[in-house]
Amino acid sequence: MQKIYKYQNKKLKSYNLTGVFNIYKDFDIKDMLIMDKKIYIVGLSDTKRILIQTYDFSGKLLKEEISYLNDDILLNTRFVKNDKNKLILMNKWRYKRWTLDYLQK
Amino acid sequence: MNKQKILITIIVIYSFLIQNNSLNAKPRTEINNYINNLNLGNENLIIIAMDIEDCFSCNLPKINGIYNNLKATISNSKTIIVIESKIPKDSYAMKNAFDTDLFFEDTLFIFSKNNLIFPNILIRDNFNNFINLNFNQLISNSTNINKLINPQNYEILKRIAIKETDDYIFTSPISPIISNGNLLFLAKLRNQILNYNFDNEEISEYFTPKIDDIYKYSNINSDSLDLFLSDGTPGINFLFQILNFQFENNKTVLLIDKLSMLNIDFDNKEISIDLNKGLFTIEDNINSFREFKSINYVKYDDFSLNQKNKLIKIKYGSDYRTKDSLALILNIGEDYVFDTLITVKDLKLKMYEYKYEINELVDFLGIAEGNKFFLLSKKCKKYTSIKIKS
Repeated sequence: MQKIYKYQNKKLKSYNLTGVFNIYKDFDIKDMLIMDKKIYIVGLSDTKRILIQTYDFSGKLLKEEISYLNDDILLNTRFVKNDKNKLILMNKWRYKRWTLDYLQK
Repeated sequence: MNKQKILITIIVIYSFLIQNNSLNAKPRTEINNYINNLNLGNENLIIIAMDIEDCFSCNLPKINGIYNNLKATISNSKTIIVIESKIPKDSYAMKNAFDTDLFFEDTLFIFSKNNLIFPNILIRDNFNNFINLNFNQLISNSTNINKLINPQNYEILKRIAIKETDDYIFTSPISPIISNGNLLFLAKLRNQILNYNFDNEEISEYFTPKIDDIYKYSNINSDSLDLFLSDGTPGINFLFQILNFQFENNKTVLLIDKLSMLNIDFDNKEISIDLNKGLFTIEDNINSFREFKSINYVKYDDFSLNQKNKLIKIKYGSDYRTKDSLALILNIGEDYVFDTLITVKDLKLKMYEYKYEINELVDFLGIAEGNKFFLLSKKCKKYTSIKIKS
């Protein structure tokens, strides 16, 4: 069900999210970012797992990583746009409160 | 065998408890509790649930194949088959078709009562998290299971803690951006754009709507506005509300709801207000405001500008005519007129499957080079169907 839509020249094309979404639907998508001609998606599952996927503009999955959040509860997350083309999340944690986390692209 | 009898006794006792609490139980919680109360320790559990009568895709060799594949993929795992059946012991014949660690017969229909489709595959990992897998997809794709069951710990290259102060407590920051050594974000409830300075680790106000701007860009009578403001409600935030913003090359563009017309009749206690929407731009300390010329009845709450100066907005309309509206493309260069409307129909979804909650259907957006926009659809709430058993 979760899809990426590309709007160009007054036409709307859609691409299904793939990878882990093929077998597991319970990642709650939190944000999307376009950077380096790639689409980044971040999702959370039960505040325990964080998923980051990278797609190209044709909807092909380039990379996906699932990480386990073992030391705090992540309540919300958003990508941070920046002029250095770094992958940064602004996270709201239950105990740590707000952090900017710089991730490997 | 004795162990099985003990476990079945536990199920029966627990099922009685579930029956008495089922009206208040949340669907997934009920199943999670059912599994947890089997007291099977902290091992990874692979649970396949089937209904002996209604399992339309119970291809036993396929299920066995998935079962063996999962067991080989997930280390330290125990496999369990749960078969729903109206008649006790009716499902025991099916049990022999599986090479499984444990078998349970469920005459209380815990899984089907919770609208799960059979065969249902549920993993409980050793952190006690439940993962419901899609059986049909699993047949052709099992490469992602290992990542899901055994994810790596969250690794970061660098972390910066942002310290809130009593003066600047914020909830959900919108559109955070780092530029020139500062972090800017919209604190929507404060109706302010805040600035976090990395050097002195302090938060300050970057932009707060001013009453002067409302005077400047409204056609309202200043006496009426003074009277309105002196009354104290609803306050300045309502008169000039920031819905979102973008910052690039020292140019700040805000999507706003702005007070444009105000009629007050205090004797009859009637106040009428018109809010107009538009883009408020701050560049080189000069403010400007451009109002949208059409479709003012749509709620706006997000936008994005691309290099060809188009704008796209995601949200549903406010009345029956526009409630399936998702996005508007605005031609900024041509008099701020919307030239394209994207609706739910354009997404070609099977709408009959979903509740009509459009704001949960498509949410945020990204922006790419040139004339491309990207939207992302979120998970939707499906209509749930209730099985009626004869």
